[in-house]
Amino acid sequence: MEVPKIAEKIVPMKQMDAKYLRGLSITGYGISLAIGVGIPIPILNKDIMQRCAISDEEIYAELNDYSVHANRKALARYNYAQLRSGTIEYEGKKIRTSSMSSMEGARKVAAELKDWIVKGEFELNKPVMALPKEASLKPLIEWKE
Amino acid sequence: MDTKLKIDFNEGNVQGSVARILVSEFDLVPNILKAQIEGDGSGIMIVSITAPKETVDACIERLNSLGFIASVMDFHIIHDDNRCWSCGACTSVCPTKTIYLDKDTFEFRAHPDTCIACRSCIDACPVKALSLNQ
Repeated sequence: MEVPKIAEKIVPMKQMDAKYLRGLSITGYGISLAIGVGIPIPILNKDIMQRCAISDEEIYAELNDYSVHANRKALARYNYAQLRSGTIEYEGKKIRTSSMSSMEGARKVAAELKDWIVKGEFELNKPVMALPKEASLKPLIEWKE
Repeated sequence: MDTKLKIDFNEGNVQGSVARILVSEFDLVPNILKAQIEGDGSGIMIVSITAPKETVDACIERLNSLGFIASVMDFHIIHDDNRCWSCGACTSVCPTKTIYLDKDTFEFRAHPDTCIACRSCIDACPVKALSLNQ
């Protein structure tokens, strides 16, 4: 595995702030890791500004049935305003919703990043590596006898 | 103000009707929030009633005389501020909407009065920031 090695070079994990890197234990799922990442987006033109200024109503997420293993199709689409309201409706049935990422945490990360930029402590360097152009997820295919 | 009663019962009185006593003898409107019977016949029931303190005390005395172990349940959610990162996973599993995120700051909030000690939030919390003081 090449990627973790490079990731290690970019940011040594042990130097990360425990506030933004947390071990999780999710009941019925297992262990996981929560990572808070701040990405500064330079507003270079009107188009980028418009895309950055979208509201919750304009951000969509899919409703998926995770009991379907392979070739899963989205059942419906909801925007973030609907999801944040706490309830969505699917086929006449009300479903309670909540996030698994922290908006409060995201704002803290953004504020800290802004603070670095304002103080001139945030410096740019050349890309360490390119994001993979081709990537795919391995589906969990149901085993049949 | 609602009072929550925690009533422990055992094999000997598992068939007894706590609700009937509260209704017929004390003219109360009990709301059963939780009832759990274990394999050995013992169990726990949480009942919410609206009554003055004297009536609550009388209820407890009467139930205890029948072999139940009744007590006022003064529980609330204990929230560890240092562990919680306000992800919100606990909000959708809470049956009484006791837990919610602040509309403006998106921080964890709870009004413990409506908690029914179902423990759903404790299981849902990925950083184990929630517990009950019972």
